[in-house]
Amino acid sequence: MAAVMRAPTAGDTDAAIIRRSGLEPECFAAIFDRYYPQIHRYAARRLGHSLADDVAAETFLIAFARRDAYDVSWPSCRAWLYGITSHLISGHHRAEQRRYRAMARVGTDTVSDGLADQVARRVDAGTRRAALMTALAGIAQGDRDVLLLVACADLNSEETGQALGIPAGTARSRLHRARRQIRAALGEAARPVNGKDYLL
Amino acid sequence: MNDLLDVRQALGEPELPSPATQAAARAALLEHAAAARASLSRPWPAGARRRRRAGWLAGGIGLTAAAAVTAAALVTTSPPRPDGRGNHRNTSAEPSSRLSARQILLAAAITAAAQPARTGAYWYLKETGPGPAAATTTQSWYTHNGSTYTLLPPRHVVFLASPDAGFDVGASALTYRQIQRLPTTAAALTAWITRSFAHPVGPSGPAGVPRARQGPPPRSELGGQVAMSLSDLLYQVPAPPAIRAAAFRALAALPDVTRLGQAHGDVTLRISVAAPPANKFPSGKVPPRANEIRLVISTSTLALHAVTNYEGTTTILAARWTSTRPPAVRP
Repeated sequence: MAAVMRAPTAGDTDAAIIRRSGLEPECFAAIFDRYYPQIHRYAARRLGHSLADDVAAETFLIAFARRDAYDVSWPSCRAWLYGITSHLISGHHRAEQRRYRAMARVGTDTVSDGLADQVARRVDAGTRRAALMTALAGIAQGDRDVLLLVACADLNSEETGQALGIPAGTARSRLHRARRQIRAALGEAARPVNGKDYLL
Repeated sequence: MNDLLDVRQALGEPELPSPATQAAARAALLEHAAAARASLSRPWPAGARRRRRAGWLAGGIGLTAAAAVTAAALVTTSPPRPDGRGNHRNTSAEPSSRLSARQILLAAAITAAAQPARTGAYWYLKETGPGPAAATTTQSWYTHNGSTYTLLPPRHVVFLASPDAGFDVGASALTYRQIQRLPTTAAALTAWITRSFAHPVGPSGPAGVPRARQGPPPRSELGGQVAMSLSDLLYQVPAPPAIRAAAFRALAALPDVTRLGQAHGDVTLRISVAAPPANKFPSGKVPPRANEIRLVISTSTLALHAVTNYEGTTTILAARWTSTRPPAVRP
């Protein structure tokens, strides 16, 4: 079959490798080698270690199966892979929310029944993190995808849009909304107004 | 304070996958690759290559000469300027069936310009959506020094947002003072907002940094973003009447403004910014109405009641100055 079989090198763009993998499917392993660790890390941040094992492996199988639909005008396939991962994670959104809520409880001295109670306590790193985690669990799935792709995967809004199949403008406004919720729940939430309790 | 960094740190730095896990995942992929090679019978489909961004919105959203002339001519045919502050009843001369979308926007501009400048300590905004009302209704009180109190669903906790966050205008984050100095002509305001996407300004401090990091939107989406930003200026930020009016006029100057219909005392206008993008993303998905915004305007008061963009519809329940303190703040 293919006359010249050379392994992809560091100089090849993802797009070139993916195009080549049409006739030389094994080439796709180079994509795996480039991105598996970061995809796994991203999934583990959202779902924990064991689910991340499945999601990361599945990401590359799906990417491989869809490689002929890859838009080769994007030299890097990073956003594309994160998009697949995001989609897989959305299938586990209950697990994701449970995880954030569990993380919110860790680090607060007592298990309280909600954000309102938590922010009323003395604010330290733990309660701050708890507020953040609770907020994260409450953000709409689509907004959370954008927020975490920007915060944890270092995608910009155009890449995030590409990853999720939405216009960059939509990604931008989702990010804005998610950040507003996070900011509200964070330090700002913890600062008393006029030194008084500001909770309803 | 950088909330993005906070998010990242709070989620922690997970351990690397074990070498065995990674090897197993790689082996599974190679198995699929071997199966694919076995079934290779046809060459790589050349047609799979997709063009992205088909260059929609090539003309941008600039005010065409024809539209400018029309707009200028229409000002004289708009309903009479209300005489007296806050009395808009006489603009109601039914901006209904006789007026075009553009005329309605220009009339709304005149009404907006006649509103009192600042009549309370707080810019009060109550809005719902997109999404179910119970989960998305928020109330915010903004002060001129930038403090923001927000009542968030579902627990109605009041939060005080940081004074240095700024108000979003285009891609920039402005202080109350800076908002007061925005351009008051439609063309200049549009130009200012357009420029903000290439050169966002923000309060010095971390709040401005992530915005800049996002980079400008692709050319194809700039027109839509500018139109959305103009519609934000109509209610989201404490802009003075002249600037609110300029935003209405800037929207009226966009090339494709049409009336959709009228119901329950409101008229719906559609502002199309471009043809829909084609085959733009690998997924091929383009959200419905990605290329337009809709404004719902009261036919009696010419106040803005709702804005729809590709994120959904935001209903504006209140956007006004008030002296009533947010529930959190005690005298």
